[in-house]
Amino acid sequence: MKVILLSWEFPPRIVGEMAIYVNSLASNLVKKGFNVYVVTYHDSLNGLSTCEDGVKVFRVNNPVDCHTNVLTWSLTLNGNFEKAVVEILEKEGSNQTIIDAHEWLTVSAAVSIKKTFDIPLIFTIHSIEDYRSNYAETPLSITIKSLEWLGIYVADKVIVRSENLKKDLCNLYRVPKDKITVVDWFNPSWIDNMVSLYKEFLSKNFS
Amino acid sequence: METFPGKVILLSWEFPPRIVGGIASHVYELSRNLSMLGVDVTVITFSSPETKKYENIDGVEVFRVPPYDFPAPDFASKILMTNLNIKQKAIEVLKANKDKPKIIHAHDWLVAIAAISLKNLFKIPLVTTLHSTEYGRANGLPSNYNKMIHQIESWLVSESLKVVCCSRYMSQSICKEFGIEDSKVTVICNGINPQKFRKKGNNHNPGDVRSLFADSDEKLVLFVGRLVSEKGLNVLLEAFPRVLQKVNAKLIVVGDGYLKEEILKRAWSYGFPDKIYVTGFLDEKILNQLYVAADVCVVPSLYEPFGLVALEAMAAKTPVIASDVGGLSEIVEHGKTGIKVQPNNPTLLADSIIDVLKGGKDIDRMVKNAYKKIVNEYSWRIVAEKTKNLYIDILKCC
Repeated sequence: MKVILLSWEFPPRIVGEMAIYVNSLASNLVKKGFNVYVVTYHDSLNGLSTCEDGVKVFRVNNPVDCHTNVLTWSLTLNGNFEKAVVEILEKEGSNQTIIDAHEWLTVSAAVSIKKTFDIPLIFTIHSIEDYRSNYAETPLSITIKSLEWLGIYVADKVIVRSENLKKDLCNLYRVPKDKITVVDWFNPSWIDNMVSLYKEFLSKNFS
Repeated sequence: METFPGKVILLSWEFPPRIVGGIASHVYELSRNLSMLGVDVTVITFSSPETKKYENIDGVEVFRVPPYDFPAPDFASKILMTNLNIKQKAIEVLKANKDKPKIIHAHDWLVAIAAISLKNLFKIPLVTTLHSTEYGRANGLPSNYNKMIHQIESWLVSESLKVVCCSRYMSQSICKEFGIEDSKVTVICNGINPQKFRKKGNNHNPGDVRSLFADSDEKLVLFVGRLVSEKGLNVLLEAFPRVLQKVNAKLIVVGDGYLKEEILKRAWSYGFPDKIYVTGFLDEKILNQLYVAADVCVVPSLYEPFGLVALEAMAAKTPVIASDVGGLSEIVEHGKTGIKVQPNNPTLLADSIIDVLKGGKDIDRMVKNAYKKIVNEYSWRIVAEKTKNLYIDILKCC
């Protein structure tokens, strides 16, 4: 069983708490017997390496470093995310694989990998653009929300951390309630919940 | 004729009837002519309200996906978002053609991120045609935005197995701007369809397009191009009073741009406001007839990656006077298929125009040679044959 986590931050690159969360998820999944890859961004540390805890990290840079906004930054970065995932799948095959994409910043790659290889996609949302921008209707926020919607629409499952976020997503993006699962990361059994969730989708035949 | 066993996916942000610039008609003619040569071609492009989602045009499969239509921070953001739709449609097409060898052919940076994704997801070769570069369009890279586009182009070039461009001049610019070897670049000129231009001598009645623009005793001097400084219209304006001393002529300027007002002011100050007609953009059919009606077509550019206007005049059997720059130098052979003048030299330009308008003895021969050159070297069939050969070479080495 292989899990590929997509995240724009992972130690040593720590921007917010997502890096810590993804790190903890990855290392706990290894303990549960998963083959875990993290595909993430770093501007200088590039390529595949294995951490002490057994997590394999594939770091890529952004092929375009001059940008007008964070949206174009993420869309070009996702090109290299795809390249890294393809390299992993070529090496290890795409059977018994699941993608867990974190936040809108990884949606572009996640969606095309799911469609190309028929791999189940989990989309984990930590926070939404409406919270971050205080419900701004700027062109940038609207575009980011379009990517949030796309990720939710294409994903097989959406994971959020709280009932509140679930309720807001249902209202905002008209998501069926059953598509969203709340996993509380402060609950001692959260990793077991994640494992059973992954296993449920791994057992489904997607091809 | 060698058969081509694969499938080619052409990605373009414009395709008729959605026409923004020159890429639409290029991709239209290229794809149809490839199909006539037995190449299995699918075009994936942006839709507009009047277009069909799916069409088969002369054997070419055309899929159109909606552009990202919500507010976006800038043009590039909108384009990159639309690429997500292009990518998803292309994934479907590629998965439905699992057994065939495939090639992705991208046109300009506007489809870059979709093209690069598909190349990497399906491990298939990528060919890119660069119709122009940001460096050339923006005259350097003055802003962050221009730098970003340049870097996207550079990324596209580095992910491509081959880069196609329309002239040796462009090939040199591409190698310099992106720091690549010239072995990676293939020059395939743009094509032209001479049937668009009706033959001279036929259908020349008084209601004809000529009378819309000039008196019957005026010689018609044609300029076509955006009214921007690199097209060199100012040089032609300086030359024109000298022409008028010798010949009764009218200068027809087709195109629009930031220099429009200045041009009209200059025509006043040089004393020939009644001898110039700035038409703005014209309907293609009228323009094509105007090409035929003109007595000379002048292309005084200071910078020109290709020089389509010269080709169109040649296809319309109208004498061409062009400045010796960029792609123009490669199209016009002095004394054989037209007249080449030193760029930015109004006196020489004026003398050449006078010579042509007075019916210099070699003009007919040049016009015939020029037309022959168009048919022999610039037909879309030849462009498609060269492109097909490039595809065959690529499949051989993959």
